[in-house]
Parts: sequence; C-alpha cells; structure tokens
Amino acid sequence: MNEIGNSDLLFSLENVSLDGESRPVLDSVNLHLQPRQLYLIAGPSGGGKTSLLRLLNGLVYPSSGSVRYLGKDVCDYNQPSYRSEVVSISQEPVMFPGTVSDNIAVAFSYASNASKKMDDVEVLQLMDGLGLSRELLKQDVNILSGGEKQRVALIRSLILSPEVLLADEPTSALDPHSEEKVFEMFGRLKGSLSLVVVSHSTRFLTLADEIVLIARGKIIEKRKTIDAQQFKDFLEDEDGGRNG
Amino acid sequence: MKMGAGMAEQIGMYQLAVAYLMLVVVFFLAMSNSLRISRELVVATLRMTLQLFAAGLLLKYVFKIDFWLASVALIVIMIAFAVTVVLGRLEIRVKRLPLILFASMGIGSLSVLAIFIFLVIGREPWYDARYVLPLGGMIIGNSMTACALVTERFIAEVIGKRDQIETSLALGATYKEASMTALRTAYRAALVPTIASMTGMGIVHLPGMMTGQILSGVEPMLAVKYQVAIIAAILAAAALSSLVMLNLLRSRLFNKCHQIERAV
Repeated sequence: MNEIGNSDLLFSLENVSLDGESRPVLDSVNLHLQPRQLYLIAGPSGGGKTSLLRLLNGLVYPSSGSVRYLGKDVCDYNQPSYRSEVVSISQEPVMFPGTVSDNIAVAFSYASNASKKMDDVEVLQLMDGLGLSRELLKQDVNILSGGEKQRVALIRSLILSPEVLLADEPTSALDPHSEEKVFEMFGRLKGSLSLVVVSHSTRFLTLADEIVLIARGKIIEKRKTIDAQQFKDFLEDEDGGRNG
Repeated sequence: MKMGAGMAEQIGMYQLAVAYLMLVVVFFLAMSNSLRISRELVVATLRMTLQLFAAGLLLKYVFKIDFWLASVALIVIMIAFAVTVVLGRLEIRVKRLPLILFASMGIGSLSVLAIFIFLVIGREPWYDARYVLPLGGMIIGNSMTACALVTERFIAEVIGKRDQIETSLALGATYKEASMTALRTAYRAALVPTIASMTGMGIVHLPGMMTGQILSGVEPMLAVKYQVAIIAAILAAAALSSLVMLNLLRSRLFNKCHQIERAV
C-alpha cells in the first residue's frame, strides 16, 4: 500500500478524543510515532490503551481530532487494505473453528490479502521460535491453552508480513518460559517492522525504543527510558488513583 | 344445509355457535386446570372473530368493486401490518429498520406473487382480489416470519460473535467477509421452518390451503397442484425476502469503513 521511509511519521494523533458511554475513553490525545520503532504503551486498566490500539487499527474512528498514518487520515484509507498492513492482536485472541493451520491461514482468504501468499516455511520457523510444537498445526484450536492461542494469534498476524503490528498484552496468558520466547521474537522483529505493544510487563522496557504512559484517557508522559521500579510505581499509583 | 356439487357446506349461526362451544370447553378446561390462559383465550377469541369477520366484509366489498387499486392497496397494507408485527417482536432497534423490513418483504413477496399470478395461474384480470389477496396473504405472512427470524438471528450472531468478526476485520477482512458466517447462520434459520414443514406435508398434515380447497369441493389433485405451487412460492418469497433483509440489515450494522456500528 505505502512505502515507508524513515523520515515519515508513522502515526500522528492530533487532539484525538473518543467518547465512551459515560465519559471520554480518550481525551485530547496528541501522539507522534516513528516507523520501525518499538513503542510500549502502558497504564492502568481502563486508561484507554486498548482504545488507542483500536483507533490505530481503524476499528473505530475518533469522536474528534484526527489519526493519521503516513500523513494521511486513517479514515481515508480503504480499511481492509489498511488493516492488512497495520494488523492487530487482541488481548484475548479469538480463534475460528478449525485447526491451528486453518487459523493461521484464515486471513489469506480475504480479498485485501489476495496478493500475499502464505510462506509455509515461515510458519514453521515462527512456530519453532515461539516454542510451539509443529504437531499443533493439525490440531483443533479447541484443545489449545490460552497461552498457545496467544502465540498462534501472533503467528496469524506476522505471517501477513505487516508494516505495523499492534499487540495488546501479547504475553498476558503466558508462562515465564513462553513469555521469554515472545520477548525474543519481538527482539528479532524490532527494526524490521513498526511495533506498538500494550503491556504491563517490565521485560518490554528493555526492548522499547519509547514508552508511552497513559491513564484516564490522557497521555501522561512519553519517554525513552524508565526504570522498572518507577514503571511499577506509575502503574500502581494510577490504578490506586483510578480506584480510589 | 347442502349446496350443489363443488360448493362448500353452508355454516349457519347455529352451526357456528357449536364451533364456538368448542372454545368454551377449552376455556373451562383451562380454568379447571389453573392454566392461567383464560384471559388470553378470551382476548384471542374476540380478536380472531372481529379480525376475520372484518376481513370477510372487506373482501366481500373488494370482490364487488373489482378495482385494481383496491387489491394493490390491500397488499401494501398487509405488508405494512407485517412490518409492525415484526417490529413488535424485536427487542433491538436499528436505524431505518421499518423501511428495511418494508423493502425486504415488498421485494420478496411482490415479485413472487407476480410470478404466481401471471405465470403459474395466469389469472385474468391480474388484480382479481379473489386470488391476489389470499395468495398475497399467505406469501406475505411467510415472508414476515422469515424476515423476523433472519433479523433476530443475524443481530444476535453479530452481537454474540462480535469478537470473531472484529478479529477478521483486524486482519483485513471486508465487513462482508467478516460477517459471512453470521449471515449464513441467520439465513439458514429463516429457511429451516418452511423446509421442515414441507417434509411432513401429506403425511403428518394436510396444508391449510389444500384442506380449504378440498372442503370447498375442489378436486383433490387440483388442490394438490395449487398447494405445491403455493409452497414453492412461500419458500421463494421467504428466501428472497430474507436475502434482501440480510443485505440491507448488514449495511446498517456495519459502516462503509468496515467497522461495526457503535450502536450495535
């Protein structure tokens, strides 16, 4: 769809607000993201992180303000083509009836991905890289654990060779060993595509080029580094503030 | 009192009173068994009586005036009434739903009714109320049931499988691709009752139209041919109305940007 140059701004959000049922989910957000970077979005539950990813993915449009991708308003793109380039993984990955293999291949049946061809070797490499047995490919998705589903969803998105991967809590259902595999995978992906990751995990702090702290629908801070304790304190304080 | 060959037996006031007596028996059975449906039974009996006699009088008048506009107007009123019945059944509100229902039932019923009148029975004049209204009623009634089923089911599927649909959208599916499974499930739900009733016909029960014709003295094989034709028409109208309904409804539940509408 678009050739991304390093000088282009990947995403640019200007005064973006998104209305919720009783209060704004996002409130006058201004944010600029560069290509080929790994951004970590962190904040308390209900702070607007998932909504931010949905906006970037074009699944919702802002109530006011604009979300631009490579200088063009997201609303002006053909959405299926846009989403085959800017793919997302939800926090609780949804599987379609069928085998793991069917699920990984599902997006290739969509018209927007017609020009893409699934690389079977890459599927196997991703399975190996994420610590999933190749035997699983023939298995029905119903037998998968939450963590396995999360990794299959990651493969399903990566096999589309996207320009941008938006991942919502990609390690939330994983045991420490599998979590490590996913961190290693993101480490390898870094630099080859743009990554926007929502996570509470301090492990992403070492991988992230920039950290965006978000709470109560507002960007609190965007910074290059933050130490693990400060990060935890922020999450706890904001969660306490929200609940208190 | 017996009429000539080919005519139905007459039912006088006395005979009708005997028929009502059967309803009175049901009323007392319901009362004695504490079924708590006595009130509904009385209301239903009164409504049935008033509505059928009003329809009878209206038909008598329309048959007498023999004017195309009267037949067309009554068909349009039937469709409009069917829309209100479906709206009453649905709990969810979708923008322009009455219009969508009217268009779906209108397209599905009228096209099939036209084929039936012009090509199957070749009635002259085409607006003969004795044919157009009862046939239209049957076709519209079944189209209404199919539209109600398809609407209820499709909305339930989109809400219930929202995560699956959004996952497809997030991977580059168009809204049509993402909602295809929901659409198929709903379409199937709309057609299954008619198809199921077809399998039992002639063995489990004799259909209403055929029974009515036989009671009116029509030769059984002719009644069978009419029944086969009307069942084909009913299924075709249900299938066409549901398909139009699904496509129009889908364009309300999703927007041009391939997003699920926020109100859903």
